[in-house]
Amino acid sequence: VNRFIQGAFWIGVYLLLTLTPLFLLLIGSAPPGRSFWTEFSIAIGFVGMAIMGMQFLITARFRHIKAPYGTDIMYYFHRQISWVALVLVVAHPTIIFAERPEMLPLLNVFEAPWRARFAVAATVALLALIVTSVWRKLMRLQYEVWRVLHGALAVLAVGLGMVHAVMWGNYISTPWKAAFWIALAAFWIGALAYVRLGKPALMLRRPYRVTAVRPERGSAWTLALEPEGHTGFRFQPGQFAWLSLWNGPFGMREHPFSFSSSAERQREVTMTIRELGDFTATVKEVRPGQRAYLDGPYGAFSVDRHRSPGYVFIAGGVGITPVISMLRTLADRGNDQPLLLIYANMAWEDVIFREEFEELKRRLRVTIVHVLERPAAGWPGESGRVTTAMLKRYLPADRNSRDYFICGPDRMMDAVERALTDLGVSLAYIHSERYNFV
Amino acid sequence: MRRLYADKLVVIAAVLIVLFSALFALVQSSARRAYPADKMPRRMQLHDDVRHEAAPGDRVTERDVPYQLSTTWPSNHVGTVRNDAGRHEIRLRRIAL
Repeated sequence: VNRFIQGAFWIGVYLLLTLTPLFLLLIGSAPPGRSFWTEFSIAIGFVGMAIMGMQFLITARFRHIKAPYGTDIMYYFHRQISWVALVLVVAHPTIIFAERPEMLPLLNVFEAPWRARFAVAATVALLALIVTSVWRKLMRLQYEVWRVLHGALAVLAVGLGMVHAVMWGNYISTPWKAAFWIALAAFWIGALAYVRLGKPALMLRRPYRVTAVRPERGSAWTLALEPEGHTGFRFQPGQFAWLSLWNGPFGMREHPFSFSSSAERQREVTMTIRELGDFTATVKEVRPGQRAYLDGPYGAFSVDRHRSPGYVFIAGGVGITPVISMLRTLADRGNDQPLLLIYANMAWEDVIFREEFEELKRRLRVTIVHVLERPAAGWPGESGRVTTAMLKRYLPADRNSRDYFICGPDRMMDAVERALTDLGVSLAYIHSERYNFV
Repeated sequence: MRRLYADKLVVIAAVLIVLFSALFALVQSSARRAYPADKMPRRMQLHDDVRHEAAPGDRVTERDVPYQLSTTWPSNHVGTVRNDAGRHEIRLRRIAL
């Protein structure tokens, strides 16, 4: 209930901050009214800018805001609502030009007044922002380059849009209104500055040192890290942190990884990382003693947030990392609840932590079901993909009262979520984390 | 599945934005009726350097709203307006009231 209230509260705050500036414009002296469609286009222009500004807050890593939903969902919302912002920002001039074609020459940036040039530049920046985000991989943009570009284009789009609104003068004509909108823009961009400058400055004083780099099955590596000169932080099993390895915390080479260690052993934290891209391929080159920085913990994907008579974990590939953290933690706590782990992999050799599962079976009341997509001949266990029929075979009789934790490739998670709802499991009991949210 | 909730929130936000924007537009566009063409607008002032181009009492339209020029202008507005005969380009300077 508490989480529901928190979630509803932040949604209310979001809608309020997005819409209130519009109505503040009507307070005090306002310009003479024009046609409905002209006024409507002005309104959606302002709201479009407010949504763009709020994007800085959504992605600013404020733990309390992200806690009720989970970080992956916040980023998903960030992406989806950006389409709404784009439609509003493009519709703003389109409606004006449709109603007043005599204003079309304002698109001629060589002759148009500066207030119109800024509008064109802001729209181009927003379009570039969305194109480089949606087609980042297709354009083969390196993640670090994209992050710099993303921040710069976002600041440009909002900054230029604000200059356009202030220069045009309508609705922001009085000094206090101009001051309000400029302060609002500073607040939005300040959120970005907090992530890129404020947080790194704090992290600089709390470095970590790599104590071990262990190879795991399936081209994965486990990094063990210890706080250096401070006590570290407490995390919940299943949570994650942003890891900077090859540069200081101000660098752009920062990636989110789940903790794989027990939350009951906070002195040394581990992260298990599979070689999947440029950054992850360099993890094996890390040497003990190397300095690292962690920004965290984040995430709502944890057994500590859900009291339940028992838990079901469904993982795919490297999606096992937050799950192993939860299993290790439950084992350290002496948990005796019934647990079920369904773990999908390509082949038996890829099964990360395979040997440790045997030990966990001794310490926990856990049933472990391995599912192999390409099993070797003679494999006695489950093969293929996780299906509704397979889940039906293994889920306990009281399946509608258990909590489910799902982590793995997107397609697997979609299929498992659908299968669970088909089996009558309430959405409230299904918890998932998409680890490729950036 | 949580994405479904996020999608719903995006749709709700979009609908609210359109509704509130329409409400804003209704309120604002109805404001034009408060300034009928044949009435003297409240406080209007011409910019000093263009005052010679139009005299108080001239009728002008500003963004489709007709006005008759006087000595003060109701809000801080800068823009180029034409009188309704289309003869004069004049500039109005905003002043703080």
